[in-house]
Amino acid sequence: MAAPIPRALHPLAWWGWAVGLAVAASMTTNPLLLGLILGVIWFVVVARRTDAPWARAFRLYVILGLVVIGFRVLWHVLVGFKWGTIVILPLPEIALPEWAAGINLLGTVYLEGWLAALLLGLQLATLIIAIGGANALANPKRLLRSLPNALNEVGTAVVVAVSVAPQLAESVQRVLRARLLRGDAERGLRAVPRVALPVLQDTLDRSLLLAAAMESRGYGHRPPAEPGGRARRTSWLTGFLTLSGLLAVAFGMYGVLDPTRSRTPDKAWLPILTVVVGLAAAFAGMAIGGRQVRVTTYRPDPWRLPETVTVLTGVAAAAGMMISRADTPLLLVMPLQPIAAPGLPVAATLGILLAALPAFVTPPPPTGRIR
Amino acid sequence: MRIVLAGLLAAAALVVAAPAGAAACTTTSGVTVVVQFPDHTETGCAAGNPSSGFAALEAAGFELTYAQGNGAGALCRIDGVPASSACMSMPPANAYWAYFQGRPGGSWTYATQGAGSYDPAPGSVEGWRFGGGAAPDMRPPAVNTPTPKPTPKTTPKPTARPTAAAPDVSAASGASTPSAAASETATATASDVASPAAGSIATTGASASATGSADAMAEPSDDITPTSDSSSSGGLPWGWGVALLLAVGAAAGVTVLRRRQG
Repeated sequence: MAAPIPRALHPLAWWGWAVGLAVAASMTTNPLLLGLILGVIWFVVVARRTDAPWARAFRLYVILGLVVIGFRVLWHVLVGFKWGTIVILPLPEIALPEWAAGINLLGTVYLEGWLAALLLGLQLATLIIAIGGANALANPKRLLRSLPNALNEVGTAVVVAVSVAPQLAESVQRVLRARLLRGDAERGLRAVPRVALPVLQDTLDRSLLLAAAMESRGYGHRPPAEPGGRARRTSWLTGFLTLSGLLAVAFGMYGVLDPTRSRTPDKAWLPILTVVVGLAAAFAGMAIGGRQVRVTTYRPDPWRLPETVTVLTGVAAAAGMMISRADTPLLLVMPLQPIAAPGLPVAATLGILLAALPAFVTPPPPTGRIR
Repeated sequence: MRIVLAGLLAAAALVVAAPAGAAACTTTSGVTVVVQFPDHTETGCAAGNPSSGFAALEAAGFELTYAQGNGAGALCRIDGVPASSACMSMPPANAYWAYFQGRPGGSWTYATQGAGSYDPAPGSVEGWRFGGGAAPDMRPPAVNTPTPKPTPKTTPKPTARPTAAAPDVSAASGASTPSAAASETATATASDVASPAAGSIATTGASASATGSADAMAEPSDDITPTSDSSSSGGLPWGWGVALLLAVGAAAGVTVLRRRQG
């Protein structure tokens, strides 16, 4: 295979890959599997990320994951339900009145309960880092172009929101560097006013630049109002259909996932019907709304073989985990009663290792400055 | 050694099997456990002073399976019920083992603490019912009037022990009485029993069954391990996982270095 031409992969491909890994992580508390998922995400991210601001934000997601684990363990020690037999931290328990029974303030920490808390924290951290991986690899501004036209106003807001924090951090670095070059090496609180203003101005300039570029392609553009008020009626219909559809989906999903649904088997079809009708209404709303928005695309992102392979490897990770869950469910959890070494389910492991494939089969990211 | 061990295991099996069919405690020293299955109710007696609700259930002869995953720490099955649950997560709110405390001859109150942390007092009654949180149908049984059969004191008082141990020489009551003292000693210190036992011949029998019951306490956990082992077969050993983790980590590290240089 000849060296492929550097290009950015379609952002939706990275999101599909990351969501597949997140789904796999949500099904297991086995530390070996979670560790493998984390390792695969790290490997692919360092192999295929660009130098863009959002790519450098991956570190923040890792820090957030560590904070989540720390908080989960801290809350377990403070108020958690401490169970187990192996004492690791004998603490006095603070007695609470009868109405607050069930909350253990402090109290002896056992290895089993502590490990369970730690692994649940690790699971949540893995989910966060998987999404962080998608954010680091996929260009959020390019993702906007893949959204349905009706959502472009929401999408515009989302793009500005997700790109503002990393761009702010980059602005701070640039302003600090510029000050150093001019011999102004003052740091600490007194330097804040002298840094804040240029940073705000820089961020504002860039936002306006982005807004102008987006407007020239048709984003945020509304068709002029016609005399008959047809455009207004259409937009009202769009909003009504989309909103009521999404509400119906939300209520329907609640009914579908309700564990007591089996008590009324004759009405089991009702929530499913609600979901279907809601989805239909939402899609109809988007279709109607999308007709009045015209957006042009500069350098469209192609969907080629590497994109398909990337999404499929993410699907493979989730599918491998599902196969293992149906086949050997006890291997997906850390054995805690009694504590034993976790096993390694074959299907889930193969699926996760497949998800490392995008580090090899995707074209290398374009080098140089991306804003 | 092997024969002795086999004998101890046989004694342990006897000790474990005995209380399962037994009814409520005959003294105020043990904890009576009432378990209402979907189709029938069983009553057992956890002799002595079990350290927790779970310990009382196990000492009364019930076999426990705990939930895994996000339900870790919760009880999933008693004696294999419900068989339909995979025990991979927290049992649902409409099909779980509800835990109650009761006074003998009184009524049930829904437990305000988990069975892993609540320490039932000797003479109290514990209730379990499978379902959506309803109390057991049966009222907490009152303490049965003590039978003429001499019963051992549970608190290891040196003065009380010889009187308790003496009838043990008779074969008939020998099977049940040591088991009462035995499972209690497992929660207390073993040395308490061992040191008075050194004195007389009559207590040697008691100390022997005490060691047997120590195995009996270990026995249920031995029963649980093979089941989790058998279902975990088909997976690779954990060493493979560590090796794969190191490989993926090394690949990522090499990539970082290469990109930094290039």
